[in-house]
Amino acid sequence: MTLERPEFLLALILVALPAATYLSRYVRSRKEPFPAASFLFGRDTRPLDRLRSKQILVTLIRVCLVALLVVAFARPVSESDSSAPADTGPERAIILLDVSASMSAGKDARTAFAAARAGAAEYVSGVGESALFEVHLCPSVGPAATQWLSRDLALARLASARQGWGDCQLTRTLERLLAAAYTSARIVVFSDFSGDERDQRSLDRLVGSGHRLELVDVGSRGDNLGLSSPLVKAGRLSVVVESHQAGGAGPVPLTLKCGDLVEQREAKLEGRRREVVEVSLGRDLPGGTCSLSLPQDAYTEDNTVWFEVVRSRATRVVLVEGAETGGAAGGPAFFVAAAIRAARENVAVITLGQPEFSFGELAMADVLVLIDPLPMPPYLERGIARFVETGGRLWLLAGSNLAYWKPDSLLLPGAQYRSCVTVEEQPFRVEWMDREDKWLAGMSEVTDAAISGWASLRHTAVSLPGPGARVLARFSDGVPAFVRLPLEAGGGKDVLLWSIVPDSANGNFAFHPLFPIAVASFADRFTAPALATTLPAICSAGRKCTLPGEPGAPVAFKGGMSGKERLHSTSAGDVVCREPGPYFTSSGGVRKLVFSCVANHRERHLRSLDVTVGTAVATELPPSSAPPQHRSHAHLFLAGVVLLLLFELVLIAGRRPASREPIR
Amino acid sequence: MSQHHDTPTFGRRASDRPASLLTPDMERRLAGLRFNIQYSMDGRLAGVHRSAQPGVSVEFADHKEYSPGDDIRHLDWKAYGRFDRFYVRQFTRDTHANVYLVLDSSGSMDYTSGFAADTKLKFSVKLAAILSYLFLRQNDAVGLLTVRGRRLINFLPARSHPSHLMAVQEELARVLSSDAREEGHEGPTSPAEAMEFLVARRIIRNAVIVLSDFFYDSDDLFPYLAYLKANGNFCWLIQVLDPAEFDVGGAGRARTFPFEGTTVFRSNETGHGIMMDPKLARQDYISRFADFMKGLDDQCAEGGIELSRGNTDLDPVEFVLKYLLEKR
Repeated sequence: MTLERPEFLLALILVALPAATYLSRYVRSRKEPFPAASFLFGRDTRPLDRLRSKQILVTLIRVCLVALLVVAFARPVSESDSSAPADTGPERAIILLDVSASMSAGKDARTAFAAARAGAAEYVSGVGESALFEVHLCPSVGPAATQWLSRDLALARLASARQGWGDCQLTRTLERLLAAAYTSARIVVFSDFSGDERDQRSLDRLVGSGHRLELVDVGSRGDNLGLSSPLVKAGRLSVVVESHQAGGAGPVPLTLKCGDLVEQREAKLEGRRREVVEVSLGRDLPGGTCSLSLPQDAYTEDNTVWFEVVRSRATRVVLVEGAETGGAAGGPAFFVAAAIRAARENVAVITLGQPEFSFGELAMADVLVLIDPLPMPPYLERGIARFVETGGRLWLLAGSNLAYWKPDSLLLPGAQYRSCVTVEEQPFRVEWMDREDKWLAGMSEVTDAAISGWASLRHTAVSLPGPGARVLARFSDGVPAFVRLPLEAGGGKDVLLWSIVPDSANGNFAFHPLFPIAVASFADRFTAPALATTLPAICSAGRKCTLPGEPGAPVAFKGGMSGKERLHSTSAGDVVCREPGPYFTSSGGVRKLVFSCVANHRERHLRSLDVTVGTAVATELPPSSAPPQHRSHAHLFLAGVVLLLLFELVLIAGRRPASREPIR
Repeated sequence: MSQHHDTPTFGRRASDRPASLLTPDMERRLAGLRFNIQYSMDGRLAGVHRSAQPGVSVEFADHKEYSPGDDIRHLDWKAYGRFDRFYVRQFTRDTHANVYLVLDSSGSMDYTSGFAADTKLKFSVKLAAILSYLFLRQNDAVGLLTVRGRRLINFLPARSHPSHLMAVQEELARVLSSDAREEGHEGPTSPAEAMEFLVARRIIRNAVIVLSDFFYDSDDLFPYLAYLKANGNFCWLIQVLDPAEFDVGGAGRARTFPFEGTTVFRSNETGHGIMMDPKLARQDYISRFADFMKGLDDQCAEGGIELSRGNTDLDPVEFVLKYLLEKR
């Protein structure tokens, strides 16, 4: 008799448990000679020796019970005598083909699945014609049927096998096959063995336990990356890149497809498993269904995300850094925010106290208005600089606080500041304005006389190193009022600098009719392109998903990675997708992205492991063709367990109850 | 009870006495004590107890009409003057008593829980020594019967000579010594043989004092006691208990059955054992023990038998003093 799972015998250590319990009780109990012990006995006083022998008997029963249980779990089998006459039946082999999602790794038609299928076909072809086969797919659709096929039928079955999308759970499948009547047959597994470590250990155990098992590794290894949550803003795009490797990855090539537009970008993951990658586009995306893609890897189902880009007057976010309630009539932030709100619809103006904004809020905003900011810590400066580099707009209103900024600040490197103050009788007037500049398009109709009536009592002269700054307006003392600072030679990334802080004490600057007009001009410029990303509903493959919207008649969908998968939603709006990819409705020749089907979370986070148990594909079955017949005896041991259990119950039930009962 | 001014010394010198049974301190505390049995004794020698027979004494008892043979020295001439008939004055007679001490030395008596330094047997032996000392000092005769298991293992006839105290104490010391005990368990105790022995001696108007824990069948004791009591004997049972067995005087029975943790309780006599959690069994034990004591009380009250009960942590002298004070 042999054991299928000899490692379970380690659990025999559990037999020490009842013995230890008995001994601990025996050791712990004190011996007390007591003359009045007769008052402790029940009616049928029994000597301690009898009790003790009963205890030993019960302990022995329990030890045997545990031992039998452990041996039963170790699956005892008896092998038939090798001298017995050989089985004259046909040779048999079971082909287990992994069709899980990870098998779609590879390029073009040479995926791991294709390699596995070809290998299996080659194996089957190499065995004699009389051999019988079973072909199992993992994961299988529906219950696995036991059916021995001839060689030709097995080849046909392999040819009809298709790539699946689930998780294989190879070990469980193998154990199920081995536990059935298949122990006499050879089992050949074609897989990429991309299960987790636990799966790997189980496989090692199965191989080591002497089963007639062959593992054929057809997997390809590489970095596994995934994408999710794309977000398109004005001129830039953010997407979450997730690495399935422990240490993340380096540069990540991203491919953006939007209609005819195809752009390649590179994002850096910098050793993290999950990071939001911001990509500067340099131009607005055309509307329609777009996709962001990573190169092919082991799990292709999350290498592409689909999203809808629509042109609309969507709400833009302006982050004004500064409290609105400064002074009796409001602070500078009040005037700026009020002017922006009045100038544009669909603009959300968020005002924050200095410096309260977080990077999360910054990522959400399109424009950042900094009003007379105090010096910032370097990390915040870097964040704002990155915000500008990735397409964010910065509007800086310079006040007396800028005198405290260091010259090496990232926001305006090398700049020098000088405060200019005058009296009410002789205010600084706006003497000149470049009304032809597109940034001041709203001022084109204003006369010079009207402009000269716009005055302030103090402002900050900012001296900027190097050329490039373009002055849009100038005060009577020669200090520029509005300056446009291009960050890149090609334009498109400008910073607007005002030398005035519009508070209620600064002359009539904030109250003059030209102030809201100027703010509206700049706000138009900063928030003009109205693009929005519509993310479709996300459904997990193989699970019921309720689509947003009112339930109604069933809707037909078409899509998936192949683009040919067809689905119908129920009248309640539920849908179950199996193939990952975008799914569209088609109405009047116009396709609309409704939902994306993604592989489930577990599948996406599988790790690709180095499998070392792979062997070459066998060309023919071993000549013995009389596989050993195993006969399981686990049921005999389990029956013994039940009998012992009953015996112990009888023994225990025979005792007297209540407190007069001697305690064991 | 009357006080004696001098303390007589009995038997050998103090240095000759067995150690720890009667110490000089105990003798000092017992000095002047008299154990006066309230029953009429039937002794032949003079003693301190009331006699069932009239005798010569200073204490007048009654008048009796003269009959030939009466001592004419006791004629009451004043009565003759008044009634013109002869009357004889009778006086009470003080006599000695034969006291039989029945000592239970069975296995159950050889136990101490730690609350008391002495085992029940040692306490009983001390008590027997004290009583012997008291009785012999007042000219009473003291006999000793030692019971172990079902057997009467020794009988010391009642003697009233002061030197008999030494013999009694030596016998008591021998009972205490381990050499006298047999290995193994002698089985359940029964005083029947000793009581039969007493009954067979046809003792009348004497005293029988039994020192035991009475952990045996009362049928082995009380029928004999009833017979002895019917013959005018003074019967006194002294139940000696360890505080762990039953805390006789303790409030709330705090010291009764104080064991904790899984314990194997083994009977000293039968060797039978039982393993149990004492906390769970404590209430049941106390209840059953109290029932046992109540049964003993009822049987004694019914038969007119004296019963005293004491824990081994008591001073034996105090125990005797307490009894005598109650009976004064």
